Amino acid sequence: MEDDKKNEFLRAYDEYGEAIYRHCFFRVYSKSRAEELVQETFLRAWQYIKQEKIHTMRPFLYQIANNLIIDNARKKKEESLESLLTKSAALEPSYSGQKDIERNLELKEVLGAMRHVSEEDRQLLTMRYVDDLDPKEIAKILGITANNVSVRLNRGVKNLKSKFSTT
Amino acid sequence: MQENPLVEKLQRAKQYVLLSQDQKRNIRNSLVRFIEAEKGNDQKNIFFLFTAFRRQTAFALLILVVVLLGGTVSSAAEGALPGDILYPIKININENLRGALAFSDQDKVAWETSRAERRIEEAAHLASSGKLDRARETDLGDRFEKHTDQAQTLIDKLELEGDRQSATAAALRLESSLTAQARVLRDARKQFNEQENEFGDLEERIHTRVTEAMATRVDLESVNSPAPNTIEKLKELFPEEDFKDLLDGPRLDKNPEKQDKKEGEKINGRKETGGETDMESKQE
Repeated sequence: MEDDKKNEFLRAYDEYGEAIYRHCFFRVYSKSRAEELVQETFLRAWQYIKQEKIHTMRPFLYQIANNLIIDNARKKKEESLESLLTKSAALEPSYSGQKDIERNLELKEVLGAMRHVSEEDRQLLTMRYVDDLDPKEIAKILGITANNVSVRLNRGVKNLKSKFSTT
Repeated sequence: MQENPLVEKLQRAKQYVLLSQDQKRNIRNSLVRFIEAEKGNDQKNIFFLFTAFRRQTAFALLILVVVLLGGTVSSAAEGALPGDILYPIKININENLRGALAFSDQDKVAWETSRAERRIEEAAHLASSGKLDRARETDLGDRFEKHTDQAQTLIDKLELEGDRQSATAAALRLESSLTAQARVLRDARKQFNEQENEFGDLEERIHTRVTEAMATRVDLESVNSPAPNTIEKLKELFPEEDFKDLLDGPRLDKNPEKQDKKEGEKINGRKETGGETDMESKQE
């Protein structure tokens, strides 16, 4: 019984750990902070999982991660983008040489633009385009209507676009 | 979904952000350790009174009524030693009730440490009057180990929850208070029997746990800074003491090089190996 729960929980980690990490990374811009958040998210999730059945694991995990990120929003200093990208081997160890540089530039461009949109836009854009959650799922996580999500997303994409042209 | 090139860019960029395999495994291991640590605690917390009743049956129930009425038996039991009529009340009722009042993990670990100390203290009392027979020594040793194990579990839990500072402090306290109590026990034995200068069974068990607590502490400290010399640290805590006594006792291994290596291995493998450790010595 206890072991079933434990296995279910570990399977969820194996399946979604990476995705949650990516979400956190795009939200907090720090590799180490994102890793901490992954661990916190799953510890928090365990407190629920051991007591009750979770039917939709993926939105559930994003919801916890999202809440943690908001709670901790200003607690930790963000790592500077420069220092982050010089340590880029950590982002993807298998890339090397020219390709590495190109990809880095691309990532830097996107992160740079994302960094300048509002926290709310970033939250939505990350969920939609990084995590590939559909508006319905996002609506459930944030406790707003799907329609509202679409409207805000539209605005978010526009805002992001304007940041792209200025950076 | 290809609404515009911007979104494509974002979707491409996300593929470059990956959690390294090592880190993924590390987090997984921490989660597993956390679950295991929690399991141990929950069981003990929920059932403590229940098991106490079962073990002491009607007698304990009767006494509990008296305790609830007056509290006099309870306080009288505080000074009880193994073999006394009130001793079961002291360890099963008084101490469990007090333990139930410790809510935070820091409080709990402090209380488990105190309980471990109390067992050695009792052994010392008995030894000083020659009443520490083999059965009592074994029984006290078992209880002592139960409390130190629980303290260790809580220290691990503190560490996992990110409270490294409390974990380090708790490990240091466990380590130093057991060291101190071990000496009290030795002195008590000597007091009764001048000739007796051997490591008893209980001393051996205490020593194992001290070494373990030490390893935990060194492990915790070494994350941020290189591990300081443990003996130096102990000397700082107990300036007037000579640690040759406790740490280079007659039964310890005499090969310093091997010993150091062994110690290192144990520190690294602590989480996996759990309780069992050999008698190990520290060389000055």
